[in-house]
Amino acid sequence: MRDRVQVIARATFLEAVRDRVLFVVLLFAVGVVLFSRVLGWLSVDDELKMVEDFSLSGMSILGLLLAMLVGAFALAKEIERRTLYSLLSRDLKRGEFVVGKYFGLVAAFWAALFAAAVVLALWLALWGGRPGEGYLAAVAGLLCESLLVTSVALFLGALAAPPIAAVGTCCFVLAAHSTEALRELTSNGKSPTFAAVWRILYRFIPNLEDVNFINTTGGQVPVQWSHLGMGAAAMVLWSAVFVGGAVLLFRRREV
Amino acid sequence: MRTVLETIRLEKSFRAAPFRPKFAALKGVSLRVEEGECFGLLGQNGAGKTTTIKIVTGLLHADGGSATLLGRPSSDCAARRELGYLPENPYFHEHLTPREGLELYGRLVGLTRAEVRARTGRLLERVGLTDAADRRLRGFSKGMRQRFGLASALLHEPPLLLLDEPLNGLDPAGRMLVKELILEQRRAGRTVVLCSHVLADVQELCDRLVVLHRGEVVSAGTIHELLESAPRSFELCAQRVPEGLRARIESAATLCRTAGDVVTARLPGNELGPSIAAEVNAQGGRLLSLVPERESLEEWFVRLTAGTPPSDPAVEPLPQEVLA
Amino acid sequence: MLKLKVGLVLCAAGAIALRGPLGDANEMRRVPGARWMPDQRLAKLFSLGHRSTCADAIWLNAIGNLSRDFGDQTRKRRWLDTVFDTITRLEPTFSNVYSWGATYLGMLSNDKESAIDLLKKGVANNPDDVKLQIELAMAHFEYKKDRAATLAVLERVVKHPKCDAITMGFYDSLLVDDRADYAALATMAPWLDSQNVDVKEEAELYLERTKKLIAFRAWNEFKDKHGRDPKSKDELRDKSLMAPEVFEPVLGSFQIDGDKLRFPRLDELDRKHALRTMTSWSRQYRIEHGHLPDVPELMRNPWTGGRNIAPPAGQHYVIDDAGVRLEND
Repeated sequence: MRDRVQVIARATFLEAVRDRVLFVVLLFAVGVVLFSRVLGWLSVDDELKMVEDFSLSGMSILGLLLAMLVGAFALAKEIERRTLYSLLSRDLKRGEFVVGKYFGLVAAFWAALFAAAVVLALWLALWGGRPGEGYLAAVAGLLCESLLVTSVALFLGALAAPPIAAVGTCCFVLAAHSTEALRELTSNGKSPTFAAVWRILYRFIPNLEDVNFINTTGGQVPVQWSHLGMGAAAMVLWSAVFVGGAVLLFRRREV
Repeated sequence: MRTVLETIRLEKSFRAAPFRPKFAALKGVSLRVEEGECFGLLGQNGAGKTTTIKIVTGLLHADGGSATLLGRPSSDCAARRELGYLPENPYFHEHLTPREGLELYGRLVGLTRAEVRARTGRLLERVGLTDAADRRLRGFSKGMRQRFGLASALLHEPPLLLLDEPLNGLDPAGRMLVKELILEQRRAGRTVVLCSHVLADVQELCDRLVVLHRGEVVSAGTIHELLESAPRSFELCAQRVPEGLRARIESAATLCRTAGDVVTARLPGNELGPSIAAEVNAQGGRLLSLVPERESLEEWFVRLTAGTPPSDPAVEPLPQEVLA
Repeated sequence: MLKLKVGLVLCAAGAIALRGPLGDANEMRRVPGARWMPDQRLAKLFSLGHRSTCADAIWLNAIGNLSRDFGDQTRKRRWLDTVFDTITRLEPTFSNVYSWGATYLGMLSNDKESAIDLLKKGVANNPDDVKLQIELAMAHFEYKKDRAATLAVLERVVKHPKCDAITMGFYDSLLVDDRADYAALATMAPWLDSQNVDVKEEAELYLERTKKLIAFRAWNEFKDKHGRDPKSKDELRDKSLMAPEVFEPVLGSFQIDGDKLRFPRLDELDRKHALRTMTSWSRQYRIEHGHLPDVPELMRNPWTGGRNIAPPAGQHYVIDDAGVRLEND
């Protein structure tokens, strides 16, 4: 089984990295990184902070765009183009196919994020900065975020048409980034009932703030590596849930 | 002889749109393919051929009945290692090259990387794609994709080949190549199931066939059994035909033309032709050729699917063991 | 095809040409001073996880608008409060916002209370940021002349490893003014045993300066009390003039020369400090100009020569690759 998953993952990875979409999105992220220097010049005393913050946000959007434009369309593209016929007519379970697709997509997206992270690190070094612990934590967090967002895109892609899956992925990311802020707002709000309801919901909604370390690059707040570790574990578990869901949906899908 | 592929009362329905009633694509299709034969699966568009093939290859789940591959349920992934499938109008991962594609498909059926590499060069040469081995599949023409698909189906030397319109989109040289390959597989003892609209090819290649119509098997048997054995007419070509006999030929023939002293005529029935040929010889003329014309598979098929029952008693009902 | 291309070019040219009048019209439409900000309580929600980036974006926007005339001071004040509150909610560790914001509020907007409140918030959110604490202390001192509050802040700051010597010196001077002589001398104590020679000398320099402050305070108070200069050091050995614990160190740091006090050790340390400053300046000069400066240039420069550190009698300055040093004539 591992071999077959690996084979599908490799083919998916090659397809994704040779696809123009990934290249264009990566170019966008690199553009944001380079342009952020201009924003740094507009500030006072915080030039490198601006570069780092805007670039990392750009990379986060890179991950989301890749999930939306590549991940959400991954399964549907195989069905529409009938490339799936040549695969599933061989000794390959549907579940293995979905899992292989997931790993291949994650590998491709991580490659893009790494490339952007290296460009940013070099850009910072060029302007006299030095990516520190906070930077590493932020990049690690983005990689973990990509795990979950890709799994959600794949799940929604198995559930609905690709454009709906893409929009759904975007909405998921917005919601998952808002859970922490909503928890804070509701706990200070006027309605105890709503606060109680939200406390329950909070447990069951994946929270991307668990691996959001973009805000620690300033160096003022030390990195809590144990927090990142727990967040990464949570992302892995949630990803497994969504990939499992995608497998269950795809098993009965008529191709 | 062992049964390589068998379906028993396969049923499948689809719903065209939500809240719409289902329509039955397959209404109890039963067929059997024996080892070593070339088996044709025929039917008009929408008859259920592709649905049957998809169930056999595991792409669809049947609503009723069963399908087996070499004794194992077709839903069993391991059973599909024995199957080489070429879909109709195949598409492949366009950013891969043929080498990468064959490695992908080969690894999925349990071949090692070394085994795949050993076979890739030979196969690509056989299908005429050596020069394009490292080009992305994206730029391939329809014919090239078809040939690559054939190579991928043959890669692991499966005992059963399921080819859906394998000659589609090929130029004459390509068609000849594919036919040679099919015959090669037969000679090697492999079983081939051929699904094609080009009935001339089916007639040329297949031993037995099944005809599907509106989700049901309407006819099955060998070519010889299905088509009329007796000729419907003869095409006679003779030289230096005496005048009296020429007049008789012209009046009896459904089609007649004269070029110099050569007369070519189509004589209806299965007796008139031989008798006229004997008289030509007897009256000093020269018989150049006497060719019997039988009903073609295409004519038979159109007649069958248009509602007219076949008149030839060679068409027999399905064997009981298939229906059981 | 040609018609299509020409048409496209004309359309693009038309759109570009409209940019000018449209830009003017947009400018006219803008209500002077109107700056909308979302409710700051929702800032974190709307930031969608990119809190520091949103804080940066709001700050960049705010920098440009700080000097803009809003036409209504109340509205500008409300906008300022919202901006600072929003940014600091999004990123409580954004030090420069507190720093620059307080500078703007205190010096340009003349709202000293708000400046101090902003700095207090910054210190509370950034307990490790020494710079903000120093700014808060200076704000208390400059804006409110509140020595007690200043001392309370500086008492914490001087214990921080990143506290600079100038701040420590300022703290000592306040302590001396408050007659906390022993505490003033003890400030530099942790650095007097440093392995780093420069750090040790710097600490000693500021210690000597503090001793000088105490000595001059005692000298002037004696003069005011008795109507004459002290004739000897023993006359200054008076607990009403200085704390008894500091008699020995302070009295041992100077010599009475008629009506003047000489501080030989302080002078020596001052000279060494000046040489260090001149050396680092000359190295910077070489990086910028490609060659070392000469002595007249050194003396002319306001960062070095302006310190009036003339070479002692019988000596002159020498500048070379090793740095700036004194040599006998």
